[in-house]
Amino acid sequence: MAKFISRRDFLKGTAAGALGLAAGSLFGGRVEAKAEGPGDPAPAEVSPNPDITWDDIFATSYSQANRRSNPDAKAPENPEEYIVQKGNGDIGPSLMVGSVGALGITEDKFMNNKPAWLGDEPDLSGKVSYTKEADVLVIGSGQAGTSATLHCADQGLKVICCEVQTWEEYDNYACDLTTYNSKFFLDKGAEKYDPNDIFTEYMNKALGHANQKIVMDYAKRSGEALDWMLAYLPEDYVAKYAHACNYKGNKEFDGTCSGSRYFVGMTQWRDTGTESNTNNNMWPYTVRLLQQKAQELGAEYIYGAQGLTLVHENGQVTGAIFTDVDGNYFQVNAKAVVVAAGDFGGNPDMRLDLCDQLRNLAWSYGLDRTDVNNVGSMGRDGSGIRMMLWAGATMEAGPRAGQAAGINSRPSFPFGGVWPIFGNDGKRFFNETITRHGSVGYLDMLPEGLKMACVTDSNWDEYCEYQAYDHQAMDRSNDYMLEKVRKDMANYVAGPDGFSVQAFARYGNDPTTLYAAETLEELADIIGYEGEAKQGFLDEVKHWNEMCDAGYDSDWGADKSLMHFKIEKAPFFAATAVTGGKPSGGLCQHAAVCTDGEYRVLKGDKSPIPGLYAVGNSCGQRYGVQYHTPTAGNSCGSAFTTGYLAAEYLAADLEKGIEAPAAAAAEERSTNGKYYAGTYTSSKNTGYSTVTVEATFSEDELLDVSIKSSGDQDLMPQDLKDAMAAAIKEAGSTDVDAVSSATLSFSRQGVIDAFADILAQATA
Amino acid sequence: MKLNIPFCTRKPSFVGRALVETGKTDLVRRYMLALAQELAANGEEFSDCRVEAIRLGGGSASIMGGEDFDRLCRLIRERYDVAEDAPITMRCSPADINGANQPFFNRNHVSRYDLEFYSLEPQDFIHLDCLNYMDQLPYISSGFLRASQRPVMGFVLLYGKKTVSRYGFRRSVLETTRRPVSHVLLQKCAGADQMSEEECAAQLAEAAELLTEAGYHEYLPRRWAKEGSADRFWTLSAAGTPVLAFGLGAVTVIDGAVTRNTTDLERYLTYSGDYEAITETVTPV
Repeated sequence: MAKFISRRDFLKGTAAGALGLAAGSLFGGRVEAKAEGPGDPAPAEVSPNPDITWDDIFATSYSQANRRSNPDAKAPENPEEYIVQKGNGDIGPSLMVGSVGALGITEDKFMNNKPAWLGDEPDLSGKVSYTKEADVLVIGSGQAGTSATLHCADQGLKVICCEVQTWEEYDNYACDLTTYNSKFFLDKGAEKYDPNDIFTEYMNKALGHANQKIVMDYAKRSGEALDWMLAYLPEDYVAKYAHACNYKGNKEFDGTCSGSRYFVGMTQWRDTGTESNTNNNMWPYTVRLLQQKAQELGAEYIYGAQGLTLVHENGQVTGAIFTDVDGNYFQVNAKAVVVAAGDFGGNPDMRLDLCDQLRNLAWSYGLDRTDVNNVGSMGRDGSGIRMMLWAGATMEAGPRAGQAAGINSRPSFPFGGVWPIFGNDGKRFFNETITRHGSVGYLDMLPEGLKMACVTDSNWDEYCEYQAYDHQAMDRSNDYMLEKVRKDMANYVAGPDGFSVQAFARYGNDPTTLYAAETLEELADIIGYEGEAKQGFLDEVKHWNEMCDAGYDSDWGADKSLMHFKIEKAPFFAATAVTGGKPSGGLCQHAAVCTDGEYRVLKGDKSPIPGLYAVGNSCGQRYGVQYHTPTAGNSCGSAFTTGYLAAEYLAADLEKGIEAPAAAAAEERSTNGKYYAGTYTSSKNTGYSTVTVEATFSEDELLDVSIKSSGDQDLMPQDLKDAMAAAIKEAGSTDVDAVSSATLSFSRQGVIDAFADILAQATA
Repeated sequence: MKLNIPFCTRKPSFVGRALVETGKTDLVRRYMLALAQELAANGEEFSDCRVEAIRLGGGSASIMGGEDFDRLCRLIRERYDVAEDAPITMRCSPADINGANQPFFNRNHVSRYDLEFYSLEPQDFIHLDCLNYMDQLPYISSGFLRASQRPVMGFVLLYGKKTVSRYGFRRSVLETTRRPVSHVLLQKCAGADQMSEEECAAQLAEAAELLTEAGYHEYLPRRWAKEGSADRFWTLSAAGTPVLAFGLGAVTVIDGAVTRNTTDLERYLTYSGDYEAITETVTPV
């Protein structure tokens, strides 16, 4: 673009001349003049931006990660180095393959059969510059991908694992890992559970929605998976960083609260009770160690590999196409492909479309339900799920929930658990034990701004012995954590400024502010009760204590385990929160593609796609309508278990041989002519209309064609259907341009696509 | 270098500055491409300049998402001379800290986040016209940002609003001091709910006392930081270092002149690659 003067020269001239210009009056006028019409002599140098994309700027296509922009990244070589290095914050993979904008799908087509986030599968076959071969390809190396790769390798399979992060920057943000009946726990004296009890509790909480095979396998075999994994790790590493949680310290809890059973089984990988004592989450480093073990067993890891599409033909998946760190396309061919690429929680368009609960919670708050940013979620970008859908997979049915709306909206003490909660008027207003594991959205739908003052007294530690092992609960098996909390509580500071206590729930490094007072009156003032509300609070505490004496909550039916918690002995403590403000977002999203329970991915007709497996958060039906579970940490534990088990199921499939359905069917048919005789039907949807074409063939010729339907609205007039059918019959192909101008273009395309599909089926 | 990303998903009533309210990812992506074209078109003009600090603000800059941010950083490093240790500060909605964005933010060395919490007192949100992200804070702080291991996490806190709860502002500041927060920006309430100037000054004085006691220092008015965590961009620009600014309404100060980009979004989207077409005013410093 030729300028009469460069920007720098112009600026310097302005400064030197001490001249102030209203530039808009000069340049803006020229812009407007240019828009007036072809006869306007607007300056040639003023021109609009060219219509470009990021790809034009960088001359690359799908490779977006710029993975080599961090040349200083260095993989930790030992746990100590990892702990120090953790401060660099490099975490989490994300594929971010293709954007809605790049796909060119207009907004008006969003939420139709081809939603914007899905778009068309790109044909990348012509771009592949090199190819690799394996028995098994694993896409993604989080919990599930790592266990799948390791277990394939230790069964002697040739496995390639492609991971989007480089080895140097590899990290993830999982922290707790729940499994059941592992030797690791049983040796510490943890109770041995009947897997049927675990299964039943999960299925009840899932309202029957989850895949029973997946849940039963998890109940029966997750402990085995944990022990298998631990055997690959150095003993001293396990002894130092693997903490079996909750196997002691809740001695008065009988395992049931409000009809829900709770099970011990969470392993936390933390740097606590050590010399460095950083409380860092060590799980990501543990996963690194497991990846190294898999490589020792012969697995090949390709780091920095960004998955783009699956290779699929005749209904069978035989590989995938990636870009490497240099942006080169490569293909991995494999007999079995395991997608372990995570969830879609970090993809706002998929979250909007697929997560019913988050979208509608936003709506219930009066927020714009089409605003994808109204409800945050913390997961991955959903590209693995997208690849599977392109290959014919189907999503599990809704309602689909985030993990987990409302999970943290109830106030809690740093030592976790359930305590009496008082509202705006000082009265309790819900059953605290029902909302034990978050509220799965319930608190989100209460009116905004209800105070939730969670109150206890100096007996808090004793009361904790009656508490369930739960999300947000401190691990009372961890002596270090327990002592730290006791120390902070002993050093309490009374007054409206509150005091801070180290919290050990969640990631563990987060402080919680508590308020303390020597009398309940003072506490009421501190937490904001005035006038009638203050008296209401004091009366309610008295009433609560009376119900505790009776051992029965006549107001809200709280579980008997809570009725030990009289609020009577100073000092008194409170933590506060309010309802609403926003619908609680989720962590990852658990909804994903349907499988047959042994991780074989299903099509819409619920037949498996040969060669395709989904595990971890890419595998659907692991939960019900919410992440409502009897043990914290089961998301990661379940994901890890799915990878472990999928490796066994696919190994058995490989032993038998994986075959494309089309190939199998072809073997049963025979012909001496051009076609397999018979009548064939195919339906195609082009976004607005579904057309169904039926065609009958003899071995030598096309005998008849009819167009049965053009969708619910029947947009295609009968005379055009007949004319087009006749033209197709005459041509014997999809070359029917003669009638195209007279036909609604999308219906015409649907007919052509359907007949092309029929030809493919019928042609010998 | 200052990059204006003047969007937010919902503009709270207490925010005075001009912001484009949108949840449309397409519009944001169009804007990011326009910004890229302005950056690309002007790169050679400033080849003698070394970028010492980068600030992404002018709105909830994180709304652009990790993908576009990654490309933007790549473009800047390709076309401009960026000092190796140049810190990148991003004004950020807590909602945008997630597993899809964070790898890109980390990989491009975002070293400071100004998180728009506005308050840390739950009861304030009854009156505050903004979303409450307190539930996500543990995940943001410990899970994603690793704030206890590195000085990256900063909070934007609101002061001078009439209807916050009795202890609200004080508790927000106290809560800040108890968390691994490296820096704090105190943002004054705008609009009808603004307290009197005297009351605003009293809140600032209270914050000053609490923050000073907790080891923060005020390096510029209403900007507080722990030792070594002052925003280099603001420090340098306050000291008179030239500022290259790009985006809607961006104000560049260099060569003794101040240029202001247009605040007309459509004009910027259409002509961002042509400095003449988007420059609104040019005045001597």
